[in-house]
Amino acid sequence: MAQPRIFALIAVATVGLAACGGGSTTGAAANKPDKVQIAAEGPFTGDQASIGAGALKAIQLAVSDFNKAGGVNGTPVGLLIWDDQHSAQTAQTLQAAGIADPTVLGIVGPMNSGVVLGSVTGLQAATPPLPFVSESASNTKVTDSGWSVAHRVNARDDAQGPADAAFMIAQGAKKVEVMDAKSDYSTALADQTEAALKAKSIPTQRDSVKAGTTDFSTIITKIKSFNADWVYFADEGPEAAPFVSQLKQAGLTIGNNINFLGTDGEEDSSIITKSQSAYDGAYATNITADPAGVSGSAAAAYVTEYKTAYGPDSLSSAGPFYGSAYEAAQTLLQAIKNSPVNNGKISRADVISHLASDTFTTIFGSVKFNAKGDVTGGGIYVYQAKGNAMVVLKQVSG
Amino acid sequence: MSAQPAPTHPIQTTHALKRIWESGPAGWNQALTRPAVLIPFFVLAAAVPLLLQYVEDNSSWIGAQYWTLILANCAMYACLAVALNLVVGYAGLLNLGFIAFFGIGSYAYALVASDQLHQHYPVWAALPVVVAVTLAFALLVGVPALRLRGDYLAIVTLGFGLIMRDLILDLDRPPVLAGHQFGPDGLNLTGGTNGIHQVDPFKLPTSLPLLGPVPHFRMYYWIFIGFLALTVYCMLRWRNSRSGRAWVAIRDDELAARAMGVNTFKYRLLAFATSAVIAGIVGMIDAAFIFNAFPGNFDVQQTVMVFIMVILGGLGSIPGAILGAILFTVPPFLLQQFVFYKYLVISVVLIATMVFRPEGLLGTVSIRPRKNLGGTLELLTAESAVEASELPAVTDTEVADLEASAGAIVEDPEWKQ
Amino acid sequence: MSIFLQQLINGLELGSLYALVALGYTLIYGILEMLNFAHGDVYMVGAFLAAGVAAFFVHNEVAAIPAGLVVGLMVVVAMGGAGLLGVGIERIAYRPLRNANRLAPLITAIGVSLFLESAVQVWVSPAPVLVPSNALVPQTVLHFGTLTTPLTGLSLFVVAIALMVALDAFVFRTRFGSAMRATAQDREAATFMGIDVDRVILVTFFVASALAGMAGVLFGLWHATADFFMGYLLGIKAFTAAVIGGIGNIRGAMIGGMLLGVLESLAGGFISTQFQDTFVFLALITVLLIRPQGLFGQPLTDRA
Repeated sequence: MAQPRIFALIAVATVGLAACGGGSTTGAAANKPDKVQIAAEGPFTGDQASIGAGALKAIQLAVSDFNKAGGVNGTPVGLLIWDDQHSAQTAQTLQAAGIADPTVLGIVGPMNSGVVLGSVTGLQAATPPLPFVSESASNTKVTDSGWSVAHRVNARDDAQGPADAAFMIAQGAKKVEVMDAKSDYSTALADQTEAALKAKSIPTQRDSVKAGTTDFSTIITKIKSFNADWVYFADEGPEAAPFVSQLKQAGLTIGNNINFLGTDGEEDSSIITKSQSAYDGAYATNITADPAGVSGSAAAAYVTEYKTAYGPDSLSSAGPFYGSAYEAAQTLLQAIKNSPVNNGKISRADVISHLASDTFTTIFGSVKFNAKGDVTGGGIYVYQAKGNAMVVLKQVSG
Repeated sequence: MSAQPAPTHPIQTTHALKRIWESGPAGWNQALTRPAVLIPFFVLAAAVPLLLQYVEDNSSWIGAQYWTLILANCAMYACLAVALNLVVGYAGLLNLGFIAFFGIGSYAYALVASDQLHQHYPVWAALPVVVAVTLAFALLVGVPALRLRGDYLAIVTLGFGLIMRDLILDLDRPPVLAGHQFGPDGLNLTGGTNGIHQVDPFKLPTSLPLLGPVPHFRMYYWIFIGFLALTVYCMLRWRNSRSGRAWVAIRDDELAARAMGVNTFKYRLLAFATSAVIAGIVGMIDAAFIFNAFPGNFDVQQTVMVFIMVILGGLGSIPGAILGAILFTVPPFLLQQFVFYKYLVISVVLIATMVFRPEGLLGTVSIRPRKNLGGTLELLTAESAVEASELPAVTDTEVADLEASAGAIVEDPEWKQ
Repeated sequence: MSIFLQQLINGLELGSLYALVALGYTLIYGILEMLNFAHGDVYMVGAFLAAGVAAFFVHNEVAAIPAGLVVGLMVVVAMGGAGLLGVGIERIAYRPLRNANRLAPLITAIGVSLFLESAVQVWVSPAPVLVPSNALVPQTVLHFGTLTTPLTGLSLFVVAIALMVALDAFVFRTRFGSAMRATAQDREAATFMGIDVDRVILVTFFVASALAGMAGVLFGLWHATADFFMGYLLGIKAFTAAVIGGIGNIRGAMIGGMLLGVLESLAGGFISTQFQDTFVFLALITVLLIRPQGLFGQPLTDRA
């Protein structure tokens, strides 16, 4: 029945509206805020779930740890989960819920550069502006455009690109095949690396593969005819494993007659299994640290905690950002805690100013944002696939 | 002949709503598209954000902006569904690349109203550009393809949609074909995988008399609702015009229509191009609304979404298209935690609808298996089958009378052959 | 020159895959005049079935069963499973709409395709799964001068050709094949001739889907991976191949598949890898506009 169904829908929606409310109760103690919330935003389902799912778990762990340690002067922090599915249109709609609610004080995320760039104007234009700390958005424009709400704990493309190029050159690269996977992340990064290589007069050949490609024979033939001795593949998705398997099938064995450098999504030990060890010897750089590979008790303790909470096998599906997501959440939560409480409320403007000025203690040590919102002293880490695991080789400061 | 049989029970006057309910989808559509229903609907729809704002101002609830945004998305999809209904429901053409025209519209506007090409046209100058570009693509695809059979048209339009998506993703740098670069360095037409950011919104007043300040999202909700109303109005007028009758004729039996001199190609192209242009304008409004044009606008999944809105709502039915849009935009936001299962549920609903009730909820076009040969789609007739129980019962005397008179006729010598 | 030949080899291997799946499209179109959009996803399910069997035996090392037997089992399960899936889809989703307007089964097929993709994504794995081919087939790389091809790739080509020859013989030289051709020509007249049309349709769907399942096995052994989205693009390209060869024409589908694979590899290798797929779709559109009946098809009568 057409009309009754519409009425039923409106009825359901009205109930939903009522349930969605966030009210603030009148304040009690002077330093104890009434209600505090933050949001975790990212592609938790959909085509980028492989990087989003682990990050969400990390953020949830960060919030629960923070609340166990007393929260914000006794008030626990609530966590909203915004699954933007790698779409800025969905992100804008979800963020609208938070923008209107003054108890939402910040976002951990968005994770994708494209989503950040597509929604940041709304966050900046909100009254008051809603700050965010991203754990993985690497496009330079995110912090170069002067938005006071923008912060990130990971390194930028223009740090990673040249660092990757420098690494390859230091290893003796003569001709590099630069590949990207046509995503907002990989195209920007591959551009930076290619430019850095060209600046040092290294001949390059550039190719793109569509996300989800499984047959690389055409490109591999091009690589062979180019006589490349290094392949650079900027990718966050699952294309690396079939690619290196097919490299081997075409007679190019990593470490033997070809070298491979991947980026964040390829710093992943499951690729070794999925490529049936054709990945052995491949290098990968990561704009954030892998807590399992960094020295320091805080990081090691976190890894143990993650495994306890989510299972001993959970690290293999945690994705490349499970460390930086925890780190980003820590900075936001500490900034909120450091902010003054007026009448039981914390203002976003205070959170923004504390994000800009304070030094935070995280699992990777001390972290401070510079004037643009980038982390000073953020490093790029190089890993190599050895045996069954990705082993950290060194840190290249970016 | 005997006298009229006396009614054995009082004649029931059926309630107007019950009559409409029993007259089937055609009757429902007629009822729902009367001005007496449509005008209050759109007025109410326009009032919703004001209502939400009132509730928010006078209580502790704070979802007005969020819900207005959801409803704006819903209104946008409703416009798309009405446009797709035109080309699939009325003209019977399976345009699987439909969403590409939405994307073309959004990019066309973004290119003339952002820093990408350093053009900043106001809306009244951008609109003709968007219409022209979308129309050009529609003709480019439609003129050659509409001569083909239905299933081939589906594939050509699908291929067109996929090509457009690839082009949009790849044209953020001059294309390099066979080692030669076509275009100057730094040529960035489409922003590639990032899309085009910081698109200018329409320059509209930020406050209206009587209504006070109008925030961005509310203004665009009203624009979408207004455009929907305009589109619905035009569809209804058109349906009763010469083109509308031509579409019905072509749908009913194309061979007969052509025999009658109806230029099927022209009317098909008209439907195809119009739906494309409508989609393009919706794309333009969307680009201004979210300040961005994204390659995700070209995804085939979006075409499938709009398709299912039209199919479930009912082919050929404008209220059905709007209903379908509501059913498929609002619940996914309500049921965020189940969003993982979204496409699973959608595909099952689509299959079930097609197998059990291909005319959807409110459809007037039947694509059921036909029992007789000939014709492409059958139009459900408006007359309802009268229930036997509603006929006045015939008494035995009446039967005898009838038999007698029938016998009288047969035995009338005048009638002998 | 050797690059050209290498891309040619790549193209022929890829084309074998397209040809096997294109055969399915063409068989179903010939019999029912419907485009089975879900056919590419039947291929995907076949690949997953094969991956499942392979993973089970390789990771559990069940009584050291010889690799050849495992591969044989993969083939049987994938072909049989895919065939049954095809028959099931026909029964549930297409048969009720058999006499309906042409739009109806097309739309339903889109729904079935989406359903298969979502079902595998949600209930099996959203990430690609491994087909442990290293343990099952020799990973030798064959060298012909500077040209290389993995043994699995060459086997793909050889097996595909063998299957196509077998199918050709089945359709053109057996009685049942005649029944299939008769049903394709005129379904009603075939009924008058005493042919059980329902059974013919059933067997056609089974054979078409089994071929797709086999293609899934061959792909899994060649590229060692399977993911829920692999059928989508390959399905469209295989359909393109069927159309180029002449939809409804079996030999056309075989040749169209090979041709498309070679076209894609050469275009990708010599013009641009970025626009590789665009060229494929442009080829489709061009053929449809210039010669809609394809290379080997019958000239189309102008029907509604």
